[in-house]
Amino acid sequence: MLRVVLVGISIIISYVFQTTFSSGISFGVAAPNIIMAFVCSYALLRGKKEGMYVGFILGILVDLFYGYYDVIGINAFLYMIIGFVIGMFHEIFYLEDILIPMAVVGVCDFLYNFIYYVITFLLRNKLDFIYYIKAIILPEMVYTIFITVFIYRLLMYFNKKLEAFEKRGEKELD
Amino acid sequence: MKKPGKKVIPTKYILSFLCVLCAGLVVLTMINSNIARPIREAVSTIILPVQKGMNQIGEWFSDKADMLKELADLQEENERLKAENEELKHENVIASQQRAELERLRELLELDDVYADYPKIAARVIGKETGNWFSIFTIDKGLSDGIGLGMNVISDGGLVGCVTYVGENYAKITTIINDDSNVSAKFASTSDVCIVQGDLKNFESGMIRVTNINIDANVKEGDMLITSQISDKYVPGILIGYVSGIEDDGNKLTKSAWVTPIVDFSQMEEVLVITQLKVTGEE
Repeated sequence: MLRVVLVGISIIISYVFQTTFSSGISFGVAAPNIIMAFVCSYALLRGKKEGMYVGFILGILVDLFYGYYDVIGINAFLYMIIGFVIGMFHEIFYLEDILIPMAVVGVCDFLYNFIYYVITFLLRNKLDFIYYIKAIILPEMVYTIFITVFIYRLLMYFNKKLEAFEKRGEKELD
Repeated sequence: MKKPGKKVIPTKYILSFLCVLCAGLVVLTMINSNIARPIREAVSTIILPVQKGMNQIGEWFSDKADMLKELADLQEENERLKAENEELKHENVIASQQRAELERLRELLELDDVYADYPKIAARVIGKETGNWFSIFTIDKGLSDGIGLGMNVISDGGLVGCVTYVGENYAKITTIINDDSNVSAKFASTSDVCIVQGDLKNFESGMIRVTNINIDANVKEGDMLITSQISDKYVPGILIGYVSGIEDDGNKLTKSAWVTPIVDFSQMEEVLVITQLKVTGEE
């Protein structure tokens, strides 16, 4: 229960950070995608089920307020799939290594922006893909990878604390 | 933590269910985007206070940082402003004389005051679109403050965009630099009509593109671009920016220009919403 509340709070915090602070810390046009870093880090730390839920909720939040032409479901779907797929790596990878989340976030952010480009730009006949890769996708990707270092460490720290706390609770119950 | 005997639904079923839900939502909201309105209102009551609080914290920090920086510059600026003030005083005298003359001439011609002072509401920017693809903002005033759909938004004396969604306590602004925005504008000096096109590509260079200018239009660099009367969304006479480059389209009919906008779209904190709506004549 405590975990649900804490995750709920951290979802709101990451969403609000993305909408308020990200433009303040942006270089040029590229602002980091804190939501992506959060979803990937969380999915890596907790597995596919929780990753899926967190991705879905954050995606719905993004769609509700900043959905493309007020259409709800595109971001929810993308973030949910990302949360689910990345969550499958939970059991495979050694989670202390920071390079893995960085690589994962990089790939996910690229794919997400690529699909988002196809849906919102390519279908409106804006074909200069190379330009958009250079101007938007790559800068955002690099910056998001950078941000991941902090977000992942922070999440890992709190996750450890929480897991220890949950174990203690279980022992007391026995 | 699983209790024995309690059935757990496999994750893949939940995933497929949520996928179908997403697809359903996409279709539903495509047909009618108002369906989500109650949910949006409910969620915004949780998100908005947090956003506002976060903004205040951010502003406090940036204010403190500014203060340190500014102390040094303040004296210099004061000197400069004093000199400027003297100049402006002089210009003001001339301007007031000209206004008197203008009023007299207007009376003579029985013309209405076209560029009347529009009624405005001040609002604070509290959120930005999450990706880097579009240029959409949220402000902290909504229906309950008298904001309505389609109202124009200005900042620093220049056009920002218009309201594209209104919630009870917040509103969404789509800026004129947003990738699919189009604004009908005209040049203040020559009254030639043109179209301001929002394009992500151009905005990287700090400019907006203006197309469909008549090839014979006598437009030069530094000309003022304002919203035109024939626009269906924007009230006339709002400053958009200054021309900083003109180029021939090569079709012997039209030419294009680059305009530097007045508004700094990356540094917006406060905006003014013009509550007077454009009268289009259609109901």
